[in-house]
Amino acid sequence: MITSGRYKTIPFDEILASTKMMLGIEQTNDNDGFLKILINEGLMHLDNLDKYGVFASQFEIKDNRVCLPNGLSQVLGFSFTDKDGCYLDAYASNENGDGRPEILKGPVGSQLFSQYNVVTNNGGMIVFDYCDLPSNYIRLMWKGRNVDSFGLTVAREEEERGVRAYACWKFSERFPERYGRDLRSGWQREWKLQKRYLRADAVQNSYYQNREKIQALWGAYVVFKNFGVS
Amino acid sequence: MRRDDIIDRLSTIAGGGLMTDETSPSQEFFLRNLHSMREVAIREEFRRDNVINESNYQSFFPVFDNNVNAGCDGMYKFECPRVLRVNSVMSGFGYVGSESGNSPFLMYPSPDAFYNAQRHRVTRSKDQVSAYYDPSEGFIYANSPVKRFFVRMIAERPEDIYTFNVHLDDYPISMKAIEIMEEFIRNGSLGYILRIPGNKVSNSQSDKFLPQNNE
Repeated sequence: MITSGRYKTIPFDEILASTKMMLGIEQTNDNDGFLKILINEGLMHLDNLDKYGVFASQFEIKDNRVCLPNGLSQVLGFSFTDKDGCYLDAYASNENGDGRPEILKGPVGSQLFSQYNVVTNNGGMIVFDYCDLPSNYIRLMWKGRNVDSFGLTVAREEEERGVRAYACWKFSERFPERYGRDLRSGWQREWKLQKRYLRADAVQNSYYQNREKIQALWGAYVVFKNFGVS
Repeated sequence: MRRDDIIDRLSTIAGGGLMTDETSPSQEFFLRNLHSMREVAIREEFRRDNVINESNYQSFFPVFDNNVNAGCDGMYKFECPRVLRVNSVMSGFGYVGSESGNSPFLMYPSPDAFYNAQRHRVTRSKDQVSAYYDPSEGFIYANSPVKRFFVRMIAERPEDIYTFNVHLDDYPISMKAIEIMEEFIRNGSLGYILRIPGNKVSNSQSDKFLPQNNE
């Protein structure tokens, strides 16, 4: 199936505008805050593979702590850098001697680099447990939701319809005197069906994108595996 | 339609407004009742059409005033006349935002709604101008010292807005709302408010009870 809205993201306000048109409240911006919360919530709860990506950026260490970015779901690794983002010399040559920057990674408390913790207080932060850090900057690689500069989830064009239905449904639950029961249940049904479609579509696309990798893995495990020969 | 024309039209409907003696309601009486009838009619119009007629709106530009904002901390205030609240979902504020009309503020219907929204991570952002209207003090409070912005609103008293000229401009009310007022007067719902019952008492009927001129 060809889906046209996959590779185009739209600003957050676009869904807000169409939601207000659907609800018939485009003549006021009284409820924009509430609708923004609902739309962000809907985008978070789509929770499909398309919403996640792998990102890297430089962060400053303040008071032995690094505030984690919005939408983070997994810390993949990090490396100490100087202020300009260049990797430190001491960390650029690992024991292999190939000159590549050493990336400190692994689950928290691994043998490789165990002296930091990821805590979730206050939006999440990395806390280093020792004082003599080689630098005040790190370059962090993480897996997480794709968010904009305000920390709100970025929407794709084809997700607009489902998220709008979610926001309309929740908003009409807040004001049941204005929106009837059939409208409410209609929006709820539209949201459910759209969510199902978007998740399935994301899985399908993920298979198309990673088909060769999956085939190679299965080939390595199943087809050419010789027992007894490592 | 201008304000005086509306008052003439409504006060003489259904045989009212015919005065045969010196008694005459004051202008303040008419204005006060016109404002309250307008409020009822606009709400009723929205209930029927599910859309606010554009004719009910007025526009003006609040400007940052240092004298008003002396001693303000965090929130900055701008003078704004009382707004008419249409229903539970919509206040009378249409667009409140930048002069270009492209970036609206996040408006909240009350101070309490604003304070509550500041606790949520999505609506707490300082990059977005948030504002609320406090009717008890007559100010719009914004979280940013905006120099000048644009407000489109339905005022309770249209004369309070400085861009409105009573003698030249049309009164901010739609023809449909005027017809709703007439309908209410005819069926008696609002008859007691604006229509003046006809006074058929002769001008000279009670002259004998009048005190003599003792100059």
